[in-house]
Amino acid sequence: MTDTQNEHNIQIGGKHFIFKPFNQQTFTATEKAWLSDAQAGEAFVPDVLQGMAWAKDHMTLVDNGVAYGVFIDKAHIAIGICELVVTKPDVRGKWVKLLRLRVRPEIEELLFKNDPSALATAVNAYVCAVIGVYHVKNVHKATTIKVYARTQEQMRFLTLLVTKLNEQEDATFKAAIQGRWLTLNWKKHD
Amino acid sequence: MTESVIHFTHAVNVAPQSDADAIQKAVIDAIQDFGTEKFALSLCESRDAATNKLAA
Repeated sequence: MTDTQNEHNIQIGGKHFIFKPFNQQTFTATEKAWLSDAQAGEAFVPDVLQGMAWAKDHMTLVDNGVAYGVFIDKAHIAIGICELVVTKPDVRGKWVKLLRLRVRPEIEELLFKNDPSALATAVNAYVCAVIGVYHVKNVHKATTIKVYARTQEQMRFLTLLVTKLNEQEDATFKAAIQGRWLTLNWKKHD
Repeated sequence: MTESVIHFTHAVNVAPQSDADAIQKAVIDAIQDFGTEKFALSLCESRDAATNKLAA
């Protein structure tokens, strides 16, 4: 699989984002910036270290897991880190799951200060994460994508999102809530 | 706090685009209906945990 296949360009409101796995350069820049944020009191250092360790171990697909970063254009520091799992639970096809989106601690801190720019950045990171998972599904010729709700608030959001997804007239997937998962299923891969 | 308006355009790169567009539109619509600020704060797992722990 080439880097080009793994790099997905996403336009939102005229802004350009890239959803892609980390390389050594982007990982090092992201780790340094996120740890600096944490050391400034914007998150617990052990939490950030734990997330970065997982990302470092999953810059490529390892034990079904892979870390993707959400980047603003050509930036080396990710605004979000996505924990993805690619599985083949049965003969019908592969699943790509978004387990978690970690937002950069600095952005989280600014959100709590009602910063409109941080609000837009966090929302865009999430939109990129979901669209990115769809693109990863196509790369892996998977038939299903799943998005996990880690909190009750996220669960309430996914419950609203499933309705919106099923209202899309041109869509070829079926959306449903299964437990704490939003599931989008295609009869066959594209 | 002013709610930011997220303008929908489209995703690019991998064909077909119809499903990517549909997903992107649905996600943005849902965020706006849910409340952009409330949604963004729901993503703040580490900061929320830190705040709760520091307050405890």
